[in-house]
Amino acid sequence: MRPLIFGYLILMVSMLLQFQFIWPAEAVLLSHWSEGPASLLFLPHGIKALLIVLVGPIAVVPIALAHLTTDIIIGVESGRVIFSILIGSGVMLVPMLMFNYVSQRPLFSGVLGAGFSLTQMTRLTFSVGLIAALLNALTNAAWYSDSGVTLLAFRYLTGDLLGILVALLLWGGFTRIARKESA
Amino acid sequence: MLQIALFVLLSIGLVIQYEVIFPLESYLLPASAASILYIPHGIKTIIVVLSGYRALLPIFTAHLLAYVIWAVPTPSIALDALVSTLVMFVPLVIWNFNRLAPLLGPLPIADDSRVVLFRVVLAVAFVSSLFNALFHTLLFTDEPIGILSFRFMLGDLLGTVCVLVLLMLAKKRLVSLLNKRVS
Repeated sequence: MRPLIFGYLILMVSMLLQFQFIWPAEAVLLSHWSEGPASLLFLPHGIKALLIVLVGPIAVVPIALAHLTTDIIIGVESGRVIFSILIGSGVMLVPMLMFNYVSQRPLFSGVLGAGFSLTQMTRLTFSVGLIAALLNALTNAAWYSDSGVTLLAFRYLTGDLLGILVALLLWGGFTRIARKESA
Repeated sequence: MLQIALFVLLSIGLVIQYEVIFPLESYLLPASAASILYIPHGIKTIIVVLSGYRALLPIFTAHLLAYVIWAVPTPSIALDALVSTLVMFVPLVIWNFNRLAPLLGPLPIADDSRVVLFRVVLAVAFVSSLFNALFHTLLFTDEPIGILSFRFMLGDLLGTVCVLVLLMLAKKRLVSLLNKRVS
């Protein structure tokens, strides 16, 4: 239960960073890019990928809750809230279930305590995040197909991929500090 | 020799697709750029999983030839064939990246378990269908991402399941035939 609550809190912090700092900064610095609903650096996607890889598919619970909380706070319309909860958590669930299915591991397991090295975990997070980013790009571009924004799917893809890279860098830094502290 | 065999195998799939399935679909369903049963995707997935980088040339040439023979209406035949080929190798690279193995090598399949082949092929087919849907909708059609992309995905996945089921049935019959002969 503790990793799920902790995951929810981290995800909420990343959402806060996204909505309060990254998006406003993009609007000022990259006015051409920020015409659509996609961000150039969507940090919560990376955090979601890390969370689901570490904890396993059960992480969809904090992910869905974080989407619900954020959407309620920023006042999104009800149809979009339901879409955001379903797609935001569903796109993460599919690749993680797929990796467990293919590697013949228990379907609902994560890598935490499963003997994965940092390299293996990082690579798995990147792969899960990449497939989730593709699914996310396709579904969101379909949802906003009338928006007229050019190459919207690629904008989603870029934002999610950069989000994964930043989250992995943060995770690498965090584990290094933790190792130094324990040594 | 292997590459010629792979080329012939995929060519048979393409002939079935263009001479049987496409005409049937155009008769039964409303016109669309995407098929709902794309057999060659299943064949491509299996040969990519089993032979790795050696499938690259056969897939590209078979597609190129098919697009020329059937005069496929596409902005660029070579680019279309290239995209149809490369999307198959993205999941292979992802899987090998996770296994810390050579990126374009074939995936290991346990000889005594058809379930493993089934699982790996389904996962590779799913990921490549995502890339295929995204790139084909964006590069080769005038429509925004929407129903068409999901139709591309559905066609690829149904095609793969169809080929896998045929493969399993043929394998069963072949084994029982051999057993009869031996006994």
